[in-house]
Amino acid sequence: MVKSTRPFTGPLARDTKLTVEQLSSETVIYDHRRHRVHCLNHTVAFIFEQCDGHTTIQEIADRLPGALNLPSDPDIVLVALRKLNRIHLLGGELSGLDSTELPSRRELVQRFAALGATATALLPVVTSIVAPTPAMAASGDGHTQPGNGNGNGNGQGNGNGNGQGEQGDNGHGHQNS
Amino acid sequence: MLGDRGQLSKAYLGPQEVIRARSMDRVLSVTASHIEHTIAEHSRESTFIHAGVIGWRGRAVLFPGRSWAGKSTLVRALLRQGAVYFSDEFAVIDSRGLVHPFARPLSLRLASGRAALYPEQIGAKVGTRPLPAGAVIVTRYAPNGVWRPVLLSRGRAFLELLRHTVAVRSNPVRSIECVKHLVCSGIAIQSTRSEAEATATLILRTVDEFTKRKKKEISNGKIHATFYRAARS
Repeated sequence: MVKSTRPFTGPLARDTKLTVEQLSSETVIYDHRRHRVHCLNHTVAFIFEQCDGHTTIQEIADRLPGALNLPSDPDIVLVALRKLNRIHLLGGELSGLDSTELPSRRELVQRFAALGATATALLPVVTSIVAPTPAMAASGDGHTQPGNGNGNGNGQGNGNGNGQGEQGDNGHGHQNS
Repeated sequence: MLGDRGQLSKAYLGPQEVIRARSMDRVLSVTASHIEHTIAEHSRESTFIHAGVIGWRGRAVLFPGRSWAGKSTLVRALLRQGAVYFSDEFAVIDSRGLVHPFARPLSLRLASGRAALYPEQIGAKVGTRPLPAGAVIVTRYAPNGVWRPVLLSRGRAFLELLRHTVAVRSNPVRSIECVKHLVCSGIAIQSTRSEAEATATLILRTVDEFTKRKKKEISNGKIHATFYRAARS
């Protein structure tokens, strides 16, 4: 990220205890602190890259048409930031991200449906799993858990309460539309 | 070390008692499994992923899955269709992303208990050299499951493999590197399935078709667009 002398005015990505890998248009992030693995789609990955603490939400939104062919809509950025915040990939505090006034991804899909399937497929998606212990890798328990992406991973369905599970943050779990 | 007191047998690894049982077969079986999992967890050269693995047209095809997910049964069905046996338990990946054979006898669970099956017993060949990954198949048995394959994005395939990687917590960087090699060198497909015998031919046909399609798209320079459209549809 580009260093600037401007004061912090925008969202700041966390950059410690993370391993980041680029896979075509997606980005996979291993959180060494929480042993969670997140798959960010192209849009969330792009917005995550822009979070240098100096670039404002509106400035990030203004870059969306050129980079992703999406509308310059701050709500897209806010929805992505809310997802990043819930999985602890943002540093610092950003107020208003949990506001109920923020649209859900589903509402964004409806809002931009006229732009076609390709554009709506680019709306923010994050899929997360808990990195397994050796025993969890053998049993593979608790996967395919729909969730809200807030990382509470209560192990639903396996009764072990160890937080294993996949948390699709779009309310549909496994199938990210 | 095996101890014997009357009819009760015990197995130790160092000072740690692994199992005690009256059946020596059970003691040996549990000990062998314990050794395998210890190697998988502590290997310094390879990354172990819980998966059935076959060789098909010079490429490795992986079926990541937990224990009791039917990996051995599916692998046996695929061997009957001409696939080469690599493993029914672990995909062993080296630092270049090549998949090595871990060709222990297939461990089949029958109503009467476990049974070991040597691939040669059903006329199958056993892999002897490492292969690059050709496909990752994420499939689960469902009683009325229908084989409807969809391509998975690389990110989703990555999560599916990492979820079954043994030493990801103790060695995340190497695990990530190995899994990245796998997902970048082949295709990834997801579908439910019915009985293994009924699905084996469909799986191999799907691997052939999707691989052919991928090669064609790469040569046309439009792999990303079409792949991601398919994965999201």
